[in-house]
Amino acid sequence: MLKSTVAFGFLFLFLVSAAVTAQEHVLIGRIRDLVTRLPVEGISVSYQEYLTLTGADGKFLLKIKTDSLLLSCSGLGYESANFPIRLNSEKKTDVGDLWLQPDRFREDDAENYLINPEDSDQDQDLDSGMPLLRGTRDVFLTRAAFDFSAGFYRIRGLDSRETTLIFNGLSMNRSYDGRPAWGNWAGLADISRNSAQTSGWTFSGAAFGGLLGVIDISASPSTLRKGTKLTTSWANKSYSFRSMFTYNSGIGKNDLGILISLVNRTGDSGYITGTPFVGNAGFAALQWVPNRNNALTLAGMLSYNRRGVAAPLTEELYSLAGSRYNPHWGLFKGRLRNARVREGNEPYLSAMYTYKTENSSLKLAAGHQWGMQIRSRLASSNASNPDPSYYRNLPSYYYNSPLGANYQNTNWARRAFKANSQIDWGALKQTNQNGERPAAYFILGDELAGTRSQLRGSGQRDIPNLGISLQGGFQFLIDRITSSGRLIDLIGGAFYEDKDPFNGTLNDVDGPLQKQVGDRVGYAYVLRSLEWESFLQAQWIKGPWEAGISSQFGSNSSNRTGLFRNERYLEQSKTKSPEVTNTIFGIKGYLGYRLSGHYWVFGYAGLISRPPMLQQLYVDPRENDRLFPLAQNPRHAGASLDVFVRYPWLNARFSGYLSESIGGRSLKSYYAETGYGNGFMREVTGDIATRHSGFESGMEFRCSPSVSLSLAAAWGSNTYINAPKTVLYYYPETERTERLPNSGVLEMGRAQLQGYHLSRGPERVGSIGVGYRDPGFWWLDLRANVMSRAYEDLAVLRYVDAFELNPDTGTSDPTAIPEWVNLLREQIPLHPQYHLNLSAGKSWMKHGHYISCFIGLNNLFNFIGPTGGFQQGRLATFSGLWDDLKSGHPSFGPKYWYGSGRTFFINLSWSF
Amino acid sequence: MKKNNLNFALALVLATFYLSCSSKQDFPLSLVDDCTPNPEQVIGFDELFGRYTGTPMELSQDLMLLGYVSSSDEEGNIFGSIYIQDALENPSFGVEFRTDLLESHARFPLGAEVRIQLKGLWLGAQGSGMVLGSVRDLFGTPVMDRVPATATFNHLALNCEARGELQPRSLTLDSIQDQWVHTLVTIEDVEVSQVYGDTIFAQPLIESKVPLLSCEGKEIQMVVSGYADFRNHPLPNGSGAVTGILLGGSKKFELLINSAANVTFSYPSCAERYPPVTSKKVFISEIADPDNEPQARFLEIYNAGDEVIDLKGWSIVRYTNANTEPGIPSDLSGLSLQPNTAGVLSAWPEVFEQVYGRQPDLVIRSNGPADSNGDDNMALLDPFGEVIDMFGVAGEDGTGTSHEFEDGIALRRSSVLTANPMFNPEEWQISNDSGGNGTENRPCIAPQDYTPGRHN
Repeated sequence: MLKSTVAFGFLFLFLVSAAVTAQEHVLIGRIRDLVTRLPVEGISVSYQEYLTLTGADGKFLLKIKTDSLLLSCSGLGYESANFPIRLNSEKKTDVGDLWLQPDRFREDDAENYLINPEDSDQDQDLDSGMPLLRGTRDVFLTRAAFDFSAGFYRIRGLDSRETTLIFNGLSMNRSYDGRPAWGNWAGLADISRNSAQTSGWTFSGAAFGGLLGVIDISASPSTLRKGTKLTTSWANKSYSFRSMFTYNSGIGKNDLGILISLVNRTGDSGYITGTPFVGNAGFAALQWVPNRNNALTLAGMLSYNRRGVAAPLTEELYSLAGSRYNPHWGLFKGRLRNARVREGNEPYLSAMYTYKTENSSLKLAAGHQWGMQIRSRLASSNASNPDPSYYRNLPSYYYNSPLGANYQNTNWARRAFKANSQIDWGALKQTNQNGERPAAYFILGDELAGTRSQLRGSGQRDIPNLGISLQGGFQFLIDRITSSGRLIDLIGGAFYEDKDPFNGTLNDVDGPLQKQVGDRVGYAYVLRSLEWESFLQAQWIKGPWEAGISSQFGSNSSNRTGLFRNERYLEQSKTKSPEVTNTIFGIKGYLGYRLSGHYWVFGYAGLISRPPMLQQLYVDPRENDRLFPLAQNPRHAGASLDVFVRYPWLNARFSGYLSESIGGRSLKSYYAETGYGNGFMREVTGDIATRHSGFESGMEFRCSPSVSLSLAAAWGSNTYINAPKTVLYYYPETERTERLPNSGVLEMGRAQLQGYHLSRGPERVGSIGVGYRDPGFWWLDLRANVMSRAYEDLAVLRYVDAFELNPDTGTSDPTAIPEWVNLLREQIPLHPQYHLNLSAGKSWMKHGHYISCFIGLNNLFNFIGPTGGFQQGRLATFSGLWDDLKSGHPSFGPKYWYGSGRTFFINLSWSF
Repeated sequence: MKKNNLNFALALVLATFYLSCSSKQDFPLSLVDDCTPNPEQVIGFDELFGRYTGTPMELSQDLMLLGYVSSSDEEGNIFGSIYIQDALENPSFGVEFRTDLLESHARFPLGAEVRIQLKGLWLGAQGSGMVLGSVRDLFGTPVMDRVPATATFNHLALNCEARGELQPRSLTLDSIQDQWVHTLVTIEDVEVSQVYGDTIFAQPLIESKVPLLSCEGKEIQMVVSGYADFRNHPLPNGSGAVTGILLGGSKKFELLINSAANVTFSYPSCAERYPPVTSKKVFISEIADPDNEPQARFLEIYNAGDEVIDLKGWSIVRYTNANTEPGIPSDLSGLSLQPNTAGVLSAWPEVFEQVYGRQPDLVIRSNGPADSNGDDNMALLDPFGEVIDMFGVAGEDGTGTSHEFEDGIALRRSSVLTANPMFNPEEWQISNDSGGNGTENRPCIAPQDYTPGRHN
C-alpha cells in the first residue's frame, strides 16, 4: 500500500503540471536529509487541506490558492518542520531544497530488533517473521513488523515467497523455495536501510512482484549515510551480543566511494534453551560516479551463520518441561551441543550500472552467488532413538499401553524424563565405540549447495506532459542446486553404512558402502533451473484519476539429475530427467481517485501464474525422478481496495482484500499408520485451493508535538476452498503383509479441507500504542497487542475417506460414527496472545558525534502460549487416533511452537 | 581524531570476530568414568535371588549387581529383555532385565560387563528364572513389566571393563538344571523335530516354538519371534548344537536364541548318527490299575537283553475296550533301557511320584496305554511299525476275559524273556476285582502290590 502512495505522490507531480489551472499556484521543491544530503522519499508536505508526498527524488509539487503559507513537512525518521513560504507573482514557485533533520528519537534503532525469519530458532518451514521494513511509512505494516511478528503474524496470511526481494538490482528469492534469502544479510542491518517497499498489488519499478509486493534495497556509498557507525547490542531472544561496524566514505572528489559493513552476532543460547548462535557477515561496495547520470557499483558479500534450533512441543512436553524446553541439545563435559544446527554461507558478487536523467532511469545488474545451506540432525541406525522426547520415552506412552494404563511406569517415565530430558552425548559416543560395527548414532546434514548467476535490468521513462510513466524490466536466472545428505559427525564411531535403516537397501549402489565424515550419504541430486522473465507496465494520471496496468511474462525450464543410484529405484534414481518447462504470466492493474488532498481511494486487481518452486517439482527427488502427479501450475488472483486518509494530525489506511490461489502443492514425509498399512510415506497433496480475505487498517494520531496514538488492526480469514487430492508414495517392501499396493503408490482421494483454516499465524490482530517524544531527546513507546485466531496445520490424512477404515481389516470401521469423526476433525483456534511491549530511547549529538541508546522490552506480561503448530500425521485412522486420545494423554497430539516470554533488546550506537 | 576513532572501531570489531570464531562448537567426547564400584554395594546373584518372597517385590536398598550381557535384540528375536548373567564362562545364575529400551544391543552389546542399580527396581520370577523390571497391576495381581526406556539408563550402565567373550555352558537335555534358567547355554546333539510342520524359523508376526529333539529323543522348544530378522530363513538340516537363553523351568524348558547363527547343525541327523533299532528282548512287563488310586496307573517296559536299547521311534498304542483301531500312539523316544532294566510310563507323574516315591521314566498322555482301567489292550511297536509285543486281544473288551486287570495288575511272568506279538495268557499273572478265565480275584492296592521299575 505504501508504495502506491509513494508512486502516486511521485506521479502526482506530472499530473498537476499538466492540469494546473490559472487560479492556482504551483509550488515545487525538494526535501533533503540534513545529514546525508540525500533526497528523501515519502515525506508528507502539506498546507491546510493541500497535501502531497515526496517522490523517490525527494521532489514534491503542491497546487495552492494562496500567496503565502506555512508549509508543514513530516515523515517517519525525521523531525517535523514548518517552512514559511511566500509565493512569487508567477504561477509556479520553486522553493528549492528544504532540509529535514533526521529524527534523533528513533533513528533506525528500533528496527534492529526485528526478527529476521532466518534468525528464528524455530526449525519449521522458515516462512515466518517479518522482513525488514525500512522504507515503510505505513502504520499497520510497522505494527506488523514490530509487534505482531512475535505471534508469527503473516500479512494477509500469505507466504513470504509472495514478496519479491531485489538487492542492488538482483533477485534474491531462492528458486528452491521461492522465499527471500534474508539469511544472506545475516544481520547487516546498516546496509539495508535504503529500501523501497511496495505492498500487495502496488506497482514497483523494480519488478512485477508477488502478492505481497516488492522490496527493493539499494546499498551503495551514494545511497546510504556517509560516515562511520559502531553498534553494539544485547538481547536474549536469538543472539546475545551483536557488534556492527559500518563505514561509508560517500562519493569523494575522485568520483569514488567505498562502503564497508561488518557484523558479528553470537550467543550461547536464545530464549529457547540450547540454541547457540554464531553469525558473521561482511559487505563491501565500491562505487564510481563519474557524473550525475551514471554510476557503477561493484559489491560483494560474505556471510556465515550457524545456529542451534528449537523443537515444536506437544502439550505433554510443555507441561513436563515448559515452553523453553528444547530436546535437541545435551551437555557433554559441561559444554552444550545442539544436534540440529542450521548453517549457511552464501557469498555473492555483483556489478550494477545505473543511469538516471530527470525523466528516465535505467538499472543493469549482474551477479553471481554460490555457497551452501545445511541443516543437521542426529540420527540412529539399529539403535534406540536418542531423542529424549521420543514418544516411547514419555509418560503418555504408558497411559496408552495396549494392555491398559500402567501407572507405575507412567510415574517412572515422568521422573526419568525430568532427570534425562536432554541428549546424553557421552552415552552416544560410548555406544558408537562398542566394537567393530557401523556407527549407531551420527549427525547427518541435508545440504543445498549451489550457484546462481543472473542478469537483470529495469528502466523507467516518464512523459510528464501526458501524465504517463512507463516501466519495464527483464531477468535471466541460472540456478544449479546440488541437494545431498552429508555425513557431519560419526560421534566416535568408525564408519557409517550407507543403507536405508528400515529395509536395508543401499542408498548409493555405485559408491562404497562404508562412508566417512564429509562424504555424501543417503541421496544426492542436482536441480538446474533456467528462468527468464520480463515485465512492462504503464501508469497514467489525469486530474483526480490515476490508473496503471502491468504485465509479466516469462518461462522456466528445470530438470533433475540424480547422482546416486539407490537400490530401491535402480532405474529411476541416477537419471537425467527431461526438462520441465513452465510459463510465467501475470497481469495486474489499478484505478485510483483522489477526493481531495486528504482522501484517496485505490482499487487493485491482478492475476499471476507461476511455475511450481523447484522443491515441489518432483514427488521425492531424493529417491527418484517421478514428477509431481498433478501438473497444474499454481495460479493466484486477487483484488484489494485501499482508502487513505491524510491530515497533518492523522495518517490512516483502511484496506479490504481478497485473493484466491489454485494449484497449490504440498509434500511431506513421515511415518503413517493408515487404514491400508503402516510405513514411511511421502504425502503428496496437489490441487490445493485457498482464499485469503480480510480487512486491515492502521492509523496514527498526532495528539500534540510530543504525544501520538496509533491503532492497527486486521481481521482476516485464510481458508481452504476445495478438497485437495492426496496420493501416498512409499517403497513397497517385499515382505509387506498389509494391504498397501505393491506399486508403491496409493491414491487417497480428496481431503475434505474446504472451510478449514490454513496455519498462517493469527488471523485477527489488534494493537493500540501511545508514543511520547520529549524535547530533551528521549522517547517512549508503549503498545498493547492482541493476536488471536491462529490455527494449527492440518494432517491431511485425517480428512480423507480412508481415515474411517479399520486398520486391522481394511474395511469400513463401524465405530467411526460421523459425530466422533467430526470431533477428531475439528480445528480449534489457538489461545489468543496478549503482549505489552515497551521501547524507549535517548540520543546525544555533539561535535559531529551522534550516540543513541535504545531499549526494547517485549511481552512485559510474560505471556506464553502457542503461536502455531501442526497436527501430527502419524495416526491416520479414526480408531488409531481415538485410542490415542481417549486416555486424555495423547502420544501423538498436535505439536506447537511456543512464543517467547519476556525478552529484551538493548542497542547502543555511535556515529561520526 | 577521526582516524583514531576508525582504528579503534576496527580493532573492536576484529576482537569480537576473533572471540566468536573461537567459540564455535566442537566438543570432544569421551567415555564415562568411575570404574570401581564400592564393594559394599555389590550383591551376588544368589543372595539377591534368596530375598525373593514369591511375589514381585520392590528393591529398596542401594545395591548393585555386576554381570555380563548374554542376549542381543539385534536380530529382533528378543524384544524388551536383556539377559544378564554372573560370569562370562560357566555362569551360575542369570536374570532377565525387562526394558522398553529398543535396540538395546547397541548400548549393551553381548558380553559387555554391566552394573545394575537395584534400588527402585522390582524383582519377580518367570518360570524358574528371576526377573528385574517394573511392575503392573493385572486384575489385582502384580505382574512384572518393562522398565521405561529412559529410566533404564538410571539402572543399567556399562562398566568400564572391556567386553568379554561369552562361553555358554554346554549341556545335554538330560543335564539341564533350573538354576541355569536365564543364562546362556549350548544344548548339544539336537535336531529339529519332524513334528514341526514348517521349513522356516517362523511365519510373519507369529511366534513359533520349534521343537528340538535330542538324539535320545528328549525335547526342548526353541522360541522364534515372528518379527525376527531371520524368521524366514530355512531351518538347517542335520543335528548339532543350539545356543540360547534358557527359559522356563523343570516342567518345560525353552531356548531363546539371539540369532539364526546360534543354530549350528554340523552333524548328520540323529537318525543317521543313531539309526533306530528293534529288539525282541523288549516287552511289556507290568500294567497297573490300583483299586485305591486310578492316577497311580502305570505301564512298565522291560529290556531282557544284554544291550542297551534306545527306544527312539518306538511307540505304544492302546486298543480301548473292543476297539479294533488303536488310539494315538505314545512316542517312547527319549527312553533308553539298560540291559535287564525296566522303564515306567505314567500319565500322572505327580501322583505317581507321591504314591511310589519315584518319578516315572517317561510321561505319556492320559487316557492312553499307561492309564488303562483294566479292559483295554496294548501293543508295543518298534521304530519300523512292527508289533513287537502284545497285551490282550485287539477288538476284544477285556471285561470277563483272560486279560482283564481292572483294579488289579497284569504282571509278566519272570520266566518270559522274549516279546510276543500274540497275546498268550500263559505268560501273564493277572489279578482283578472279579476273577475267572485264569485270572485271580484280588484287587490290588498301590504302592504295596506293585513293583514299578523292578522286574524279576
